Amino acid sequence: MTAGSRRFVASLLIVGMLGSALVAGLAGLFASQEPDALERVAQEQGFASTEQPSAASDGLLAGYGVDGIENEGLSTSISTAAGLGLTLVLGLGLFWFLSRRPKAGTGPGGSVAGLGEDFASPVGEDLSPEPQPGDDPWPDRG
Amino acid sequence: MHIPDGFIDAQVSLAAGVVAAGAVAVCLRGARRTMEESAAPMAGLVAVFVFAAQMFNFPIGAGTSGHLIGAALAVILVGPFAGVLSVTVVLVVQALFFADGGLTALGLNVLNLAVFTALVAWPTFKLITRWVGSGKPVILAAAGLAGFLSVVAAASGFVIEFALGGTTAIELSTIAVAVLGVHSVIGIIEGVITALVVAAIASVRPDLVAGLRGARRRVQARPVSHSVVS
Repeated sequence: MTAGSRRFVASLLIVGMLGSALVAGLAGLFASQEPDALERVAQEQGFASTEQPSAASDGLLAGYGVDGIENEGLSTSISTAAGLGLTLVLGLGLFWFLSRRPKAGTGPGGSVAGLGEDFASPVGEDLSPEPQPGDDPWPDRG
Repeated sequence: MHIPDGFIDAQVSLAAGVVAAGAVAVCLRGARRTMEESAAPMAGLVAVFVFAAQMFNFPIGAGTSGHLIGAALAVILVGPFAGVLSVTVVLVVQALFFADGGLTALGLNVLNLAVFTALVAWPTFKLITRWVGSGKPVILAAAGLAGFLSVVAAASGFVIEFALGGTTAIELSTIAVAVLGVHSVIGIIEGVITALVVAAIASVRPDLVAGLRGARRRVQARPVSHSVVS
């Protein structure tokens, strides 16, 4: 992995997280408090009352607020930030696990060496054909 | 448009849970087989973006709000397997930590918002960009249509589930018109935002758009009859 592609992955993550945090803050300030479209339909058609509280509705963050924080916007923003963090950790963990490839003939730490290689390709060069179902992309595995 | 507990009866919720689990298993296998290590940060970031986008309830008039689903964007950017999984991660976090969408309804929500959306959005984007080309107008149109249709698919999923196991006896056509009507409006917004984001990324780093792999190149020297689809 080149220094350039590592920098690209890092900046991708930083920009993405900053952008998401910005959205979270804005959501706390501006997101509409009107009922969601499905809730609205349920109200109009008279089946909103069939809703049962979720077993998770006593949680610390339930309903996109933080228990004990009075300011609604702040409460939404903090719980949103927590949600973004949880999603990042779970998502990255899952996708790191799923994409991990054992590499033949490399020493310890070799398995992360390919991280971000793909990001380094110049614009427009990577319109390669899709792998066909029959192709084994990792012929050296197992 | 997360379904809370209680709208749909236990049998249909359970059945949806089984189907959703099967679909997620297929995606886990698919991602395990095809996902490159370099794609992991992008896929994780897409999940974060989907969570953030779903926070933003925008008013759509008549005292109603809607939010993006983000599934079309996810599958176009990171492919169908990782796309379904990233939306599923978001739905699980929302249901467990935020009580957004019921726990017994989690299968219904994964099916509607992650699976049905992907099943519609991925082929739509893929087929259009493969057959027509990958110029900017085509990307805008393909991503926009994929975004719109994904919301319609999710809403249709709810209508079907309500028909099978709704806990209230309401005429199906009434519920179908109400749900599909309002979600068509949300779908238009989803389509516009999906189109803008995909086109913006494709113009800077087309290599980061999984849906464009195998697309026809920008310059079309060949007549249309020489289809690249085999």
